[in-house]
Amino acid sequence: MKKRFLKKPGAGIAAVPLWMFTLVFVAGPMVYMLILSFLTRDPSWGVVNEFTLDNYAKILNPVYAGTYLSSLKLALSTTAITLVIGYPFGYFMARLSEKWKKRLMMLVVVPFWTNALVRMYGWIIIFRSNGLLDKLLMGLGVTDAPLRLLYTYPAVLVGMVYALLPFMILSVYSSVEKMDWSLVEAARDLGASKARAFWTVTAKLTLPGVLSGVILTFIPSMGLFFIADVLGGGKFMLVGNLIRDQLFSARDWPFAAALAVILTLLTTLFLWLYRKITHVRDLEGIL
Amino acid sequence: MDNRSSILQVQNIVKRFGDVTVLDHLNLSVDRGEFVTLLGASGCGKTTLLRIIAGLETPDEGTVLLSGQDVTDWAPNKRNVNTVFQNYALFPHMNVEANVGYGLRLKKMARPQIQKTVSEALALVQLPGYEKRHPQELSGGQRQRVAIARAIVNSPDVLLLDEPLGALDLQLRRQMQIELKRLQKQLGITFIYITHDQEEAINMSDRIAVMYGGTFAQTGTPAQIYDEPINDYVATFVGNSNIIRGVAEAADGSYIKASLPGGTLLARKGAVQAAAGADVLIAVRSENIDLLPPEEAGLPAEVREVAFGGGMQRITLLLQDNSEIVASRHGIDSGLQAGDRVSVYWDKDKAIAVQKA
Repeated sequence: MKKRFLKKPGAGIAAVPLWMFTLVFVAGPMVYMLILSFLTRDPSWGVVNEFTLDNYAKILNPVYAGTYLSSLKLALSTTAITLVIGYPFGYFMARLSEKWKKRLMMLVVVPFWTNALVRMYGWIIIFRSNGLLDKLLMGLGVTDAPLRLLYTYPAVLVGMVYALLPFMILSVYSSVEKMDWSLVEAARDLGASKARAFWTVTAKLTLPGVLSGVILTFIPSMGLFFIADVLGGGKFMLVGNLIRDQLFSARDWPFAAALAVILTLLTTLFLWLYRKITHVRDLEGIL
Repeated sequence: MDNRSSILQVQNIVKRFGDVTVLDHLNLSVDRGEFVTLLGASGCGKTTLLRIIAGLETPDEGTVLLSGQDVTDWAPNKRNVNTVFQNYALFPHMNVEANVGYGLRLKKMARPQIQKTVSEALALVQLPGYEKRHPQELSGGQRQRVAIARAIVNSPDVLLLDEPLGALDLQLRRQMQIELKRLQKQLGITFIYITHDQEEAINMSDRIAVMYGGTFAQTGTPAQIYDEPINDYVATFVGNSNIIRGVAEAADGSYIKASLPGGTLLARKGAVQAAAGADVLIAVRSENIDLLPPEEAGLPAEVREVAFGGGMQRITLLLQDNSEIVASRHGIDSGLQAGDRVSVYWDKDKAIAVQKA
């Protein structure tokens, strides 16, 4: 990828604005955050330029370390559920006729037109006691008392999956769309059952889509905090919530910065491990 | 045909796509070890028939018998038939060894045995030592060979080949034709081969089935198809014949006397039973047309155009009924030029009466 990019004459100059943008809006803030994480908090306001490792030492406190763990657990569960639902969805969507593909694509994309926070309030209406879900289940006689789903872990999980599912669907869709189906026919012709042909050919060839879907789901789910707030009722402290609270409520900027640095490192570590196990070169565009 | 020796039988196959009937009551019986070619222009339904035999498509009517067993509703993986696909369909995520060994792995063959069988198959298609290469690193001809190896390694009862040489250049095509034929003889596998190239069909086949509009226009040995075309479609598609319209005057043994534009000439009767006064079509190939001085007996014609190509001079002639025919001469100078008047003549054994397709 990189090599091909550099081979084109003039590409270096053409890329200057891109490099500038990345430098100012991505690398700059990261460096600033890194520096901030080693400074000392000013008791009244802001920071004092005094080097310290206290911020990182503080993270080792089980209360904070546990927050990372529960964030990771939620992110992994979210990603797994999203994959299980999103793969078949994207797969069958790609196999529909052109007309139905477009219609379904609309349904997948339409939610993006509404603010994600607003959509989460929609889930409150569904989940709250005697809300839509309870009314439906009790009306059908499935349950006889409100489920009290709102502000529970499952509610947060549903909200996360709901918010991130389109990314998985679209990633899988685009790789299934590119499939050469004569390869599946060849596998069948050579003696593979439908299931065997799927696992040995289709699954392998659509893996890049799965991998990019996993990354597009996993990274945001490590940081999303408003879903845990809205659907978890503040009972679930995730890294995202912690950073926000340290930044805006406790006004401990250096500690917030240290938490963010560790979050970034943790996410990177996971992606690196992931890339290690999957051996897929196609990820170069994404990672 | 004898059922015991026939490995594949296609009976009354009908296939429709929407309102279009792609295959219209096809019947074909193929003997064990035979090389049968389905020859036809694109869109004649030959690939559809192949896919029905492979099980990748279900016929609307009719049955497919393999070794006497009705396999019409069998899934492709249950049939001992393998296909060499037009685009090769090699698995891009597997190396050559894994590609060729794919079918063997499904049969749960032991790993060392697979390795041995695969390398034998690769030697057979002249690609020894290519096991670890990936399809992307191979040339078109090499991919072709891998695709063939991947199919024959399963020792199928019938090998289906869908225009396997279509993407190769002329020289490689010729070479592969010879190799494929050798391979087929050596392995004794029944080949059903699709092509739109009449020369390829004639060179390789034991039997040719010429397809036209979802039916078999004619089935026979290459010699039969070439020398005794049954109708004008086969005569023009396979033999590049000229078709001249006329009226039958009289039948004389195995010849027919036809009144043609400007004269009367004899031709072989072929499969045509034309009574006196009936319309006939006479097929004659360009190299079999004699051009005589205008005063001699024959069909009077005017030279329209003289063109050189492929070591031949192609002379376009206008007959009295304003139809055009083409005569050809070896060499660069036939001594003719546009505007010359000639008399068109042929040996009575070199022309044949054909039906209207």
